[in-house]
Amino acid sequence: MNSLMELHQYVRAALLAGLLVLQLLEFCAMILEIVRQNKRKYIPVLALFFLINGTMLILLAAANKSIFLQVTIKPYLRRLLAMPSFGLYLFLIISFLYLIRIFRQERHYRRNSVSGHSVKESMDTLNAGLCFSAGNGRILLANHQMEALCHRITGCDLQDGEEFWRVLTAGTISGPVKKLTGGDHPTLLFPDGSVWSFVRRPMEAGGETVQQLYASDITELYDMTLRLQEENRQVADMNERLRQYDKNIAEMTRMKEQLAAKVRIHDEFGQALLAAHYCLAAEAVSGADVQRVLEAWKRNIAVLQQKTRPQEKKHLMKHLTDAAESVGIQVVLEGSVPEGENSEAILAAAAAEALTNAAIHAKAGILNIQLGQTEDEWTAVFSNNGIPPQGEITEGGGLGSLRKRLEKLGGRMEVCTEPAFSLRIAVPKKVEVNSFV
Amino acid sequence: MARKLFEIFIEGSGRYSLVCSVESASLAEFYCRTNSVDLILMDVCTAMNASGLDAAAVIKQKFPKIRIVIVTGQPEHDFIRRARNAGVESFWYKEGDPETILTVMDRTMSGESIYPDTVPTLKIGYALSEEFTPRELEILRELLSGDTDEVIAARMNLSVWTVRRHIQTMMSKTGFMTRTQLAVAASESGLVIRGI
Repeated sequence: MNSLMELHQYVRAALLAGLLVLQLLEFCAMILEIVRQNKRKYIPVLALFFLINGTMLILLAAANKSIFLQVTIKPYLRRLLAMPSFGLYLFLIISFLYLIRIFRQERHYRRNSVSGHSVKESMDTLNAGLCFSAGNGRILLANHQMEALCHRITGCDLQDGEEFWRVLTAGTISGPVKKLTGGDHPTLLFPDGSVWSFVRRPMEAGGETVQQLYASDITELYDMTLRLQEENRQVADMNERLRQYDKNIAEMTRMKEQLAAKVRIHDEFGQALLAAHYCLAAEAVSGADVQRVLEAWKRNIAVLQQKTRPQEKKHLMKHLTDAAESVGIQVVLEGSVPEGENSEAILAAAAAEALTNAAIHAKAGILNIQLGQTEDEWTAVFSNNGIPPQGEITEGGGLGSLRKRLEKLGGRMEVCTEPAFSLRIAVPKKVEVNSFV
Repeated sequence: MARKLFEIFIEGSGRYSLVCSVESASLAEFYCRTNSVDLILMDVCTAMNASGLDAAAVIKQKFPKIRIVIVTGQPEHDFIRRARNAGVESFWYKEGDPETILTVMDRTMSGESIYPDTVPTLKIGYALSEEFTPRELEILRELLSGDTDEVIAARMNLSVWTVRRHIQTMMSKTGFMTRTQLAVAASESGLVIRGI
């Protein structure tokens, strides 16, 4: 094996270059290890290799100097240069392998460890928008989504976190973006139909307060909410129709029965015609049959007579005055009848009680009804000009039942016996819709 | 049959004399007091939301000798029970021919008590009316109010869970997807009527 001095000049040149590259790589590796502050066990080894490498470099450089420049080198250098080149080759191989191992580990570490770049990269892949800003608004970290949102909302790049938040919460947004809600949880509707919700919260990082602004796409939730609102509106409409149907059950029943009656009358006319035709065409008809036909025609004619008279829908007071007139009592009314099915129903019940009392007990000739209202309730006072009651009045079936109905509606009733009988009732205007009397 | 038609048939029969014909049951007691009445044909759903059944109960208490025939076109299942409880003599559905009402009146005056054997069967969705239990029908009646389960439960002194269970059972029986559909179908069919 040749010594270092006996190597061909090209081989020495190649070795020199290799040592230089190795020196550089070892230096870089040492710096990397020092910076990573990890696996410090490699640093002494690298330092040793660096020193050996450096020594070999000097030796080879000295050998080249003595050969090319014909310079006499020191004896210890000469002794060192006399060592076989095998050692140098071995050193080079071991160094390279060691460096390859270090750099592979470094590559593995970089691929699997979280660095600042990897954090940024992963943030940029999020669908949500994320931004961290300092107390003074300086942006510390923001992902692409948040930057895009800022641009769509303000038309500018995201540069000040505080200013951006102020625009989201309290500021006006010009352009096609519409603010659905403001305050602490602003929600914005974008022209493409997407809806974004923004939330901000402070957090501590490195002894400093950092504001985290998070934007989430709630388009699907918003659409579902709108659909739910529409369905609720439809259900409310149906409920209202149901209530109205229930309130008008009597009227609707009457109309149904009228229609059925018209159909029946039509059929009966047909039958009467047929029966009459039979009677006229037959040679011999019994008296009973003729009588039946005549009765049928009488009914039909009576029905026709009813039909030609206009059927007016009677209101409460007409019912009452008709009933009062049948017993010779005059009804004197002051005020207007309250609106609302429940109010009219309870008033009808009270009026009936008052009329009964006026006719049966007081033997009155006049029934006075004073109707009034306050902001919250309808009132009615019933009195008559008949015989005052003798002593206290015991509330029997009629008055007792009237009182229960009134109290169920939140109303009240008062029966006075002096100086004359009077019945006073009060019905709340805003009666619970479903408190049927 | 409409009230006027009733009047014509009855007066035309020659067997009865009409004392009065009133639209609202709230005045029934008044006319009983001020007239000599033997028989009342009382509808259930009358003008001004006055219940004929309630009026009949009061009249039977105060005038036990007056006979009452409840007449109705509504197949509400509870009317027959309430009529019996009120002491009403007879009960008749208006669907029959006019001769039937006169027969019912004659038999009632002769001391008979005539009630239908069954309540008319109605179809509610996929279910028949007789498939509902009495409790279910009570809750179905309350559903017509459009109130929440909590309000209905408080009104009926039941737990919310019980109310919801009954509603779910009825929806399963009828095949309706929502309680509102159930309530609308029940109301329109006349199976249950609220407020009478």
